[in-house]
Amino acid sequence: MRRVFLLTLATVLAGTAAAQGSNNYGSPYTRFGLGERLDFSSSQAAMMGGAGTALRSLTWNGLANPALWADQTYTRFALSAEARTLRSTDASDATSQLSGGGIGAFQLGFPLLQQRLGVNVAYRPFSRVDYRVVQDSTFLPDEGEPIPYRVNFEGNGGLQLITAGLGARVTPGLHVGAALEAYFGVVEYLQRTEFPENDDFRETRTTRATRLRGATGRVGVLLSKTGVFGAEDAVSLGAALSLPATLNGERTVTIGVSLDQDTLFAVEEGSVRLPMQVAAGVSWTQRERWSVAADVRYEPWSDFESDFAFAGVEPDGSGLRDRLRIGGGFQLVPAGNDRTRGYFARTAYRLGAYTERAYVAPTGRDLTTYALTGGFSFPALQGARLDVGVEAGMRGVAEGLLVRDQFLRGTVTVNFGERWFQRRRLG
Amino acid sequence: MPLRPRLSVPLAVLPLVLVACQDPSGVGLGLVGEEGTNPNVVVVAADTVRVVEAESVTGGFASAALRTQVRVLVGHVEDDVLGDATAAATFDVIPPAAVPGGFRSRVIRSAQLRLARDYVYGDSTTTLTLELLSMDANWSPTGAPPDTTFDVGEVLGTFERSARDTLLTFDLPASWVSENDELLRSDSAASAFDGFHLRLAEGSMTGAVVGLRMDRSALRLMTSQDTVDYPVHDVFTTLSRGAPTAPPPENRLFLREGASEAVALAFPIDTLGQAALAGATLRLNVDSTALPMGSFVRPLIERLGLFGLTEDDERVLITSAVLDRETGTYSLTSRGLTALLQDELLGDPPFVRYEVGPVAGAPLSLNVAPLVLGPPPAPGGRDPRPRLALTLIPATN
Repeated sequence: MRRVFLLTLATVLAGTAAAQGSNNYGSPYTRFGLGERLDFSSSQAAMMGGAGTALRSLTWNGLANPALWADQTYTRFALSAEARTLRSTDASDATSQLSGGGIGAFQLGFPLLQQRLGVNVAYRPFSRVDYRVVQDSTFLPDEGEPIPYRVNFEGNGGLQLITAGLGARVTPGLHVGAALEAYFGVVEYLQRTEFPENDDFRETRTTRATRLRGATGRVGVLLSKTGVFGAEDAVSLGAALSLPATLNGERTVTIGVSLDQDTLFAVEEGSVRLPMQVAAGVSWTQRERWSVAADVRYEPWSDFESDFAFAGVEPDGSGLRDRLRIGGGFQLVPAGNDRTRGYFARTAYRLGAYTERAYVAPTGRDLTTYALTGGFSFPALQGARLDVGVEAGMRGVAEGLLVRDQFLRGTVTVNFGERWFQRRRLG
Repeated sequence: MPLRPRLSVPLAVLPLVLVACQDPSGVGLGLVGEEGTNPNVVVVAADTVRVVEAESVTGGFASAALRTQVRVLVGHVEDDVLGDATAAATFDVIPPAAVPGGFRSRVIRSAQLRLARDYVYGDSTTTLTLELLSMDANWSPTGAPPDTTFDVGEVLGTFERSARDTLLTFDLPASWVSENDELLRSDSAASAFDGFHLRLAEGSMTGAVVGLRMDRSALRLMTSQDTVDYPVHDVFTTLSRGAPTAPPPENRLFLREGASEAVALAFPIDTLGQAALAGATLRLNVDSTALPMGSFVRPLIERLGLFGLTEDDERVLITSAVLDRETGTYSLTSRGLTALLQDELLGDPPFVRYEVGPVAGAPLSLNVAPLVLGPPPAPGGRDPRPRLALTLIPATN
């Protein structure tokens, strides 16, 4: 069975890596700002509408709130991969079908003092740029017949986030946490012009890549109370704050026939200031059988500043909206904490939903997303879980220049738990 | 209990299924902002066109394996328009790869030079009085400039041949046959036999230079039982070409082959900025009416090459093109040319100068390209001048 598990893991990762390597495209809205803003707390929270700020668990270390990391009993390693497909429709009912995938998040956490003090290190995407829009036409050379060409407008990259920090239990009802967060990544706009029917012309690539890096801090607090509505339940309230971050970087413009042969012809240095990020959440759990959670996330992107021009953003940050995301969901584990029940009784069933007003506002209109989330968490090897999640939703409207995105995203997350760094004691 | 095996397959396949569909389109083009990204064709006329010296190569190897030069020229013309020209040919032969069994033990009874003519410059109706000589010393065409003369031996005969004949045959004297019989049948024939020299007989008048295709020519040796053709190997043309006595017509320039010249071109493309270049074509128009018409034949250069010259004066062929006789245009284009001009646009010129001229290895000739230099076109008209057509891709992304 271990072989089956590992084979599944290897194939899933290989599949997503292949998807990432060859065809990794998504919404045209990712062109704006620093790309599509992504939140990942844990695979559990992702399937519950992204509500993770107050979602306590001994199995999943939620990244939404450093205070949650105090709950750890095992050393835990989690790796998630995703594949997604997107259908965009414009006002004329024309459609575009794109897909992508790749490694999502990576996480390692372990307790320094069991359920008192825990460490967590994680890598996850903060934003993603992966659009591809094509324009087919012909042009008239100086002599001869019209020549067909295709312009591919492509976006690649986004910002990544590495988080490292501590969560501590101050009292049984109060947890606090703090983390250092390092941002890095590149936002790349590529204009690729092809001449598929004429060998005398070469494909041209004009790339404008903005590399950014910087760091900030994140703090969180969690209040919990047991026996609120019954003898074996608990209610938690959580909040987390990421401080504004200044990212320094440079923008390069290159021209070439391939990524290897680009010729640098411009370099510009500058900085970008990310706004603070605030999240608040509430959760209710009952005997590990039921978990219900809800979150609100707010990011005042009207405070965004940039020395670099990004699509849809003025240098003073105007053109952006304050991002607001509201999500919630529940988890049911029929067996609760009874380890002797059958396989499917110990499987977790999750459902959730969220809505989001994006921080970008193409053509001046709010961009709103509605999505349903759900999935399963299968018990695997001892202490391990395999989470399979699905997210389906839509974003935007097919009016004017705007498009309506319908997306479907599948995620697979492996979550191992082992006793590392801990002295075994008898009794 | 571990993960159920039956679940593993659909889980593994899930990402592949999801990423299987790719059908990009113009949906979202308005969001991206596609304005002004169409390929933009800019035609830039040359601001410098001048004749410069260029090394001519008139010799090489005609054998099938090498074919670095397959034609030699013989004759003399007086030409006020393009300048007088005098040419003489030197060549040798080598044994064929296979000979009939017993050939080397049989005496050669007769020998005949069989030279295929495929080219005439000048009066094609003329008769040439040619002198065939033996070469008595070793010689090599490699690196020899066009005015090189080699030591020649005795005169083997004088022959009159029409410039229209497509096969010129020369029967070699019996004394020469007996003198060279053993050498030609020996294993050292390829290196020890020095060949022939063919020139216009001294004092004879002629109005044409003929071209002989040496890859189709041979020395035919006959024994009592065999007829064996020895193919031509080393070839060289001693060539001199004088200057025209009259200038070309206004707005015309004559690029003459066999005159150790090329045409240097420069284009003011530094004003175009740092744009992506998708294609580049150099167009050169010719005006065949600029040459006097009549029985005096002045063929047009069939193929022109574009060369880049490095700081060390190394001449690098970038691309070449044959003359489109319908439009009277050489259109030189290649991806390599585009890449070089892209570097020029980005301020990193790979060459110090560009020239057009005859391509090395093409059959030697005295052809001409009467290039059109002007006048500039009327607004909206087609530019007849040497010009670069650049397909630029504006970047707004």
